[in-house]
Amino acid sequence: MDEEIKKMMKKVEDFEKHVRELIREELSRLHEELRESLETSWTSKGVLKPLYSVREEGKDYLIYVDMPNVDEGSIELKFVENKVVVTAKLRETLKLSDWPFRGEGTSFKEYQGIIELPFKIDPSKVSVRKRKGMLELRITRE
Amino acid sequence: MAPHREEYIGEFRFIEYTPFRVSGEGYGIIALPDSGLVSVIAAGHIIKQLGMEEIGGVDSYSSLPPVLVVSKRKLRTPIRIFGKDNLIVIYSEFMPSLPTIPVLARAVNDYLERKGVKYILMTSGLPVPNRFELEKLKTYYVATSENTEEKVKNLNIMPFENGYLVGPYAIILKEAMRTNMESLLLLTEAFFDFPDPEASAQNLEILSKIIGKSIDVKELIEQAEIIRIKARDTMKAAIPNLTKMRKDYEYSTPINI
Repeated sequence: MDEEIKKMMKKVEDFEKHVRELIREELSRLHEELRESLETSWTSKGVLKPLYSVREEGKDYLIYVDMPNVDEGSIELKFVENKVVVTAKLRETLKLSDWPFRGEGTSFKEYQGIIELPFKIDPSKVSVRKRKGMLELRITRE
Repeated sequence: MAPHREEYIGEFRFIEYTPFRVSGEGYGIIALPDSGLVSVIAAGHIIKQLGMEEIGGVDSYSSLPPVLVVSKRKLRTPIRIFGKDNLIVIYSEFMPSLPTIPVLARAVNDYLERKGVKYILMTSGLPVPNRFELEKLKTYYVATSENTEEKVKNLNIMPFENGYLVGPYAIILKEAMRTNMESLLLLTEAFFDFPDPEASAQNLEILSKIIGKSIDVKELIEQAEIIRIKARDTMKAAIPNLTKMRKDYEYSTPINI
């Protein structure tokens, strides 16, 4: 009988551990979502964070990075573990005179963005296309 | 300065800064954040090109985000109303929450009808996965009646034959159908999650023929990259709400037609 109770308690403990893990993951995700939503898309040092989207297509991941007004020749990509680091200069420094007061006077010169994927990236398995200020990266998962 | 008039339609307060009613066959354009911010970019351009006056606004402390728009030092509501001649534009860069949209759709429908609007026109983006590669964009229309279809008869655009529409315009169209308000939605292939002024420009070229007003899109196309930069935060803010609405259903094909 004791054995039965021990087995049952073990199941309860495992279940509790599993639920705690799920709650922790969900809270982390919500926290990350909130943090991202509160982050500005630009900095006072003239850096714009590009919009990007990530999509799965079979064993490939497609990343689109929107960088209007970019100097395509200046786009640099680095792959660090599971992260893509994108930097690029704007074709011309932008000073948006009717930007909200907070950004007034800021001159925007470059894009910087970091995109995380759920796997380590092999740079030899990345193909890149550029079009009208947008970047497409096709990354094949190992 | 106190507004000229305000009234409650449902839980929304409609404010008028100056008396206005559309002339002739009135058109109402509704612009809310949707795929590619196509509608908001287009409406902003119409307002600027036609020199439309800001005649009023819509607010609700319970149903809209706690936002005050400051425009040229004037205090404005999150949903803004512009008018000129036979045209009213209802414009918002803020996505109302999902439960709010049906109530807002009814209230806006009611308001436009009272202002003499005969046709509600909407333009938006139809998200397509291969937008990155597309040089030439296709435009489709959804009309609530045959009478409205007449408006696009000779404009060389295709009907949206089968599929799903998800988002604020789906609800507005349903409300318009329910109240027999003639309505038309133009959908041009667009990015879902990046501002797409090219798609806006294409919609505007068609819209200008419908409303009989010349809208030059040259400046919109020339300024496309600047608009894409300025619209980034609005796009970023709209995406979580659009995702919650399950905008991905629009990529699906109905099993039975």
